[in-house]
Amino acid sequence: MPVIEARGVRKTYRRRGKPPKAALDGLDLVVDEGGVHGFLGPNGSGKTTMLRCLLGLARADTGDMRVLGQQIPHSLPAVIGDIGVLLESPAFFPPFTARLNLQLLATAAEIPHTQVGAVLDVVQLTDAADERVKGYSLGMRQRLGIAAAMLKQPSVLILDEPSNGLDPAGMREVRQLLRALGDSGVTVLLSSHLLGEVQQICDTVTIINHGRVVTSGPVDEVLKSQSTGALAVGVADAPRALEVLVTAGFAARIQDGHILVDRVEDGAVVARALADAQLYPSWLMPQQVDLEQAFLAITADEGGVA
Amino acid sequence: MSIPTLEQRPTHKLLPLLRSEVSRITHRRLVRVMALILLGGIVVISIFTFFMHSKQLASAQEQLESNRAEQQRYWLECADSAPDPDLAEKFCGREPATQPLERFDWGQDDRYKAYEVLPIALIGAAIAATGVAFLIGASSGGAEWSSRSMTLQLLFEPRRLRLLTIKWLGVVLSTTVLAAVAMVVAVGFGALTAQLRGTWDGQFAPVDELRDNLGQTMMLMGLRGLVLVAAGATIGYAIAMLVRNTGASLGVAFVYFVVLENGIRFALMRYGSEPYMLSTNAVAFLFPGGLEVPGEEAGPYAESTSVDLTNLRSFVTLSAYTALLSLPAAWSFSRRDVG
Repeated sequence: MPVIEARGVRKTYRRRGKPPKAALDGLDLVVDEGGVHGFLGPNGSGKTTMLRCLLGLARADTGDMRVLGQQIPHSLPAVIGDIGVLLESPAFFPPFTARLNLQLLATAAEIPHTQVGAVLDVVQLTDAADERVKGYSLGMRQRLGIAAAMLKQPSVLILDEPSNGLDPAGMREVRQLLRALGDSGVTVLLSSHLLGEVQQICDTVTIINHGRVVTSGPVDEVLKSQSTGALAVGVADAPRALEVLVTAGFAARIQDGHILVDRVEDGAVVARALADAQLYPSWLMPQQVDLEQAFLAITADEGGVA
Repeated sequence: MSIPTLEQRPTHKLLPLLRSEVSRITHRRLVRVMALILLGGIVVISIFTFFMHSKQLASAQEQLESNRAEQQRYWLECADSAPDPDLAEKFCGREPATQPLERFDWGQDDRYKAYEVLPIALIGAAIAATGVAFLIGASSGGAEWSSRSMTLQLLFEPRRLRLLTIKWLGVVLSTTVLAAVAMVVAVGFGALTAQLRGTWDGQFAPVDELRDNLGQTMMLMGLRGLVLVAAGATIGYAIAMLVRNTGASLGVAFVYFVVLENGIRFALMRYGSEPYMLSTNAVAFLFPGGLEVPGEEAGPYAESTSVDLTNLRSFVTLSAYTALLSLPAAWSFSRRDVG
């Protein structure tokens, strides 16, 4: 059963003096239980709006949304105790200390204050816990936001740009944490601009643009769907090798001193064609598409980045 | 790194939420500074008042009265020894005044008159506390929006009206407790001053209710004061929830009290606007029995009439104003998107 399921969600913003703008245009989002699910899209594509609708902070015009099987926003109170959230930049009361901010949240939900110390420890803010949040760097605030999201020991974690402002070591720790949480059965929905991060830690991904889903599925499958099947070939006499391959009917070109052959289903066919002409490849390397290339290709197909 | 295990699932009960809210309000520096200013101001004014009054002067007055009584006695003895009572004034001079000295010599009486000043102290404390309550209400609401901590709290309690009610209760509870302390301090210092440097003579009571039952009347005034404080806090919070900003809320209050009320008074008083002014109703609500305020001008010579602004009538007017602001604020909070 999907932990998060949204079907045909529409959200339109009225604008003074301009026609209304559809932030979400019939968006579907399905996130299965456990693992880390990436939620990608260009700026203004509707990611944060979708998350806000899922959390009852914004009211969708139409559509059906469920979290943990409960209708949203109507039955959100029944499941909010199981949802941890970090939405954009964390919103804490700046004159209060980090500890007090979390203690107030914990008191409201009758969470023992020992949990506050524990989550501060997890995000390595124990030493700065009694400093005022207004003196915190962006990275420290982000860590505090992650601590607040973990306070309820949620089974669903919704994170919007959790690595924002973190230093490389902090980003690595957060990635390790999210991966470990996903492996332990927590469902993590991760909205991020860091495509490398998403590719590293996500099991599945949904890419949206202009408020609609462009593609969705396991990360490997999404990458595969965007792969050109190109093969890079290292050979001593590149111009002659190109002539041989073009004559044999391959779409090939020279790039950075080696041969790039497009749409190759079996590398052995290329190697045999060259060997027949007494040219022996020193190496053969299938060209992988990373998530960034896939993302740019997909969103460009959809009319470009917003 | 892993999420620490929680033995008990998070709850959504009202009391913990209220406790959290009150704690949030009382931890705010502005609230503490405002409380300190309010209570400190009352203490300073009370000390000043204490030293302004003197029983010594009252003793001198008593001495003066005793001298006069003695003069009177001498004159009567002299008049008795006169051959003819009709010639007493010729024999003994003019008869000294027989009225009590107080009748025409109040200006010299520096005693702290409990029945007269204690109600003023209570009303003053209640009005000052109402101002502070408005500020606390407005800044509590405004700070939630400017820091966006309201968003975070909605992720712990998504039922907006429930959260709003708890937040409103927190503001009202905190400000009324502060107001109660302020009124107790003001009246306590006043009572001490009356005891040490004044009089508990009931003849100085400005209205019959106070003369007949000072304790009960003061208690009722205090309770009305707390209601007024709650209304002030509610109005401040409601405006902040509507405009989502502390500065704008204070601006609205400034424009209303300084510009709008005075403008209306200037332009429309003759048409009987005074009974509808917020500040007038606030004072009338506190004052025992209410106030008589100018009404519509009537008759061929535009004679001014007066309107009896009773406690009940001013309560109804204040409630209407409070509801007029609170209901749209609640509706807006329950419907609008939160960023």
